[in-house]
Amino acid sequence: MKADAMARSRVIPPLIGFGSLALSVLAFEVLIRLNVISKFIVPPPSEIAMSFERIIVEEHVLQRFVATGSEVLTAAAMLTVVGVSIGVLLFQVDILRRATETWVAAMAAAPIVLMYPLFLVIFGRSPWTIIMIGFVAALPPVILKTIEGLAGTRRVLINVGRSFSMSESQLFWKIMLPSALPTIFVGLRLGLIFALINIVGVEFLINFGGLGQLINELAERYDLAGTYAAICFVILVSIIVFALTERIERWLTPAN
Amino acid sequence: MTHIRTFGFVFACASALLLAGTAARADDTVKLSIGQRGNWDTSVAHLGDKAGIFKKHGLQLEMIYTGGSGETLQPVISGSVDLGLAVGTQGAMAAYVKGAPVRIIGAQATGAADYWYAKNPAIKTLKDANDKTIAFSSNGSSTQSVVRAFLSEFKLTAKPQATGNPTSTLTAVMTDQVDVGWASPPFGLKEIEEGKIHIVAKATDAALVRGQTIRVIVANAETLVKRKDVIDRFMKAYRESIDYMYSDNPQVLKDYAEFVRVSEPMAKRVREEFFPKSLINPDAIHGLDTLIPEAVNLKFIPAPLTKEQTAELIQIVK
Repeated sequence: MKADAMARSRVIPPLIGFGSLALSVLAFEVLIRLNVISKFIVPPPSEIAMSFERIIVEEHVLQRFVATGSEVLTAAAMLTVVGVSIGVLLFQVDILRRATETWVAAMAAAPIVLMYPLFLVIFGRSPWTIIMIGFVAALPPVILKTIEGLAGTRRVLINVGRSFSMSESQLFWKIMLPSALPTIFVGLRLGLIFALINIVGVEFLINFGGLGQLINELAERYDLAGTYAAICFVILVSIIVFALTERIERWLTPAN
Repeated sequence: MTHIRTFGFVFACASALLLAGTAARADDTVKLSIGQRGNWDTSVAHLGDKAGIFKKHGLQLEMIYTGGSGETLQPVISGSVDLGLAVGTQGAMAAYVKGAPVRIIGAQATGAADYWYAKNPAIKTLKDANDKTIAFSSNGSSTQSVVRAFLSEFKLTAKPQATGNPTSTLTAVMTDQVDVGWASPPFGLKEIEEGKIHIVAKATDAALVRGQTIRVIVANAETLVKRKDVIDRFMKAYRESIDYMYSDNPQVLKDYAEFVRVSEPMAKRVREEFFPKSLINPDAIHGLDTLIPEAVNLKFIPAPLTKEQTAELIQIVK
């Protein structure tokens, strides 16, 4: 089969993906069993797989998975509504955009997670502290990419809209927003990465909530296989959230 | 000719410097990972080193401070450091049971200096904390064991709540999210002196805690065999450092105050009020009869350690 045909195939790319993953796991297993990698630093993948049942039954990982997943989804919903709205506002009000865009960009690099005591004061020792840190940390890429997406709408499309005597509102909803959607989704994906990292990090740091807290506890008990198994669940949250985002993007932009 | 002489002189100087360097390197390097920087009990290596005690025993220390017991233990197991100080006793048991090359070579803290405090003036003693919330750091931690001991020994109906480290706990207490917080001195003493909070209980108020070695000094099993002489010298110097810390030499309090950035009177208060010398005595592991069942209960180990396992795990270096 030619390279082009392989790339177009629906089956082969995922097969290559899973195959690579399986090979990496196998390589780790062999290297650990040969003592090239210490099993006291990285447990063998087979041991991690065996520990899944234990952490599901004894550590109630599924409840914690749901807790972290709900925090991420809540932060994602807030990001979509608030982040995109702020982006649109800054795009529309030029002076506001010029006044704050640099600050927003600078905020993207700020280690918001270190401000957790402040969030604890405001929101208490509740999931809202975790959600809000994730939300605030993830806001800048969503805002910036929304501005970028709207600013990048091709002039010709706007001119076509105007030639049809569209109102400003119609221009926005029917031309600019659909045209900006792919870029907005890039921002949302970036934001979700920031949110997930911060949410699990804060759970770990303040020992509260879902998977982050469990990872902390298992690490303190030197349950390495359990720790890595719990990390696999964090990856699962990430996969689910990204799959959902992709679905929503496809649904909103059928032309793509 | 002059050039040759000059070259000869420079060469001689360089050789002398190199030899001096080699002499300095003759000291054996001991790499340490140490948890909970700034506590009096975790400052033994720092203060002893500053006083030249370890140097006297031909040791040069490389100290890395960590955020918790797990972080302290991991580099010991991987062999990237020789010794870990302030590793949770039950954490060390957990690692040993899973086959990790770790051995307990001394006690690091028997009993605990942690204290519990409140902002609300109505809470004066633990009895006043009934039906109120009382903090511990995290599930499976030594502070949780202390709170459990408080509840059972004083028949309290207080509600335990995990609040994380002393900083986040203080925030929770000051904002009325938790009634009784926990801290480890010198943290919080400034707030006590300012009258913002007051001490409600000390960990040692619980009889169970007074008799338990909650943190230990661990060594990598291979290091313990291969560098036995170095570890012996380290433990000698460690004991000498403890004697120095409780001597009337004022320098030790000056050094500690500078190390943790507190005043000298506060440094003295930390030593006199919270850390009796017996608390940091490394000579014996106490309270195994309660520590082991608790370790099983908290899922650190699947079953109690056998006598043989205990003997292999605990090898106190005298």
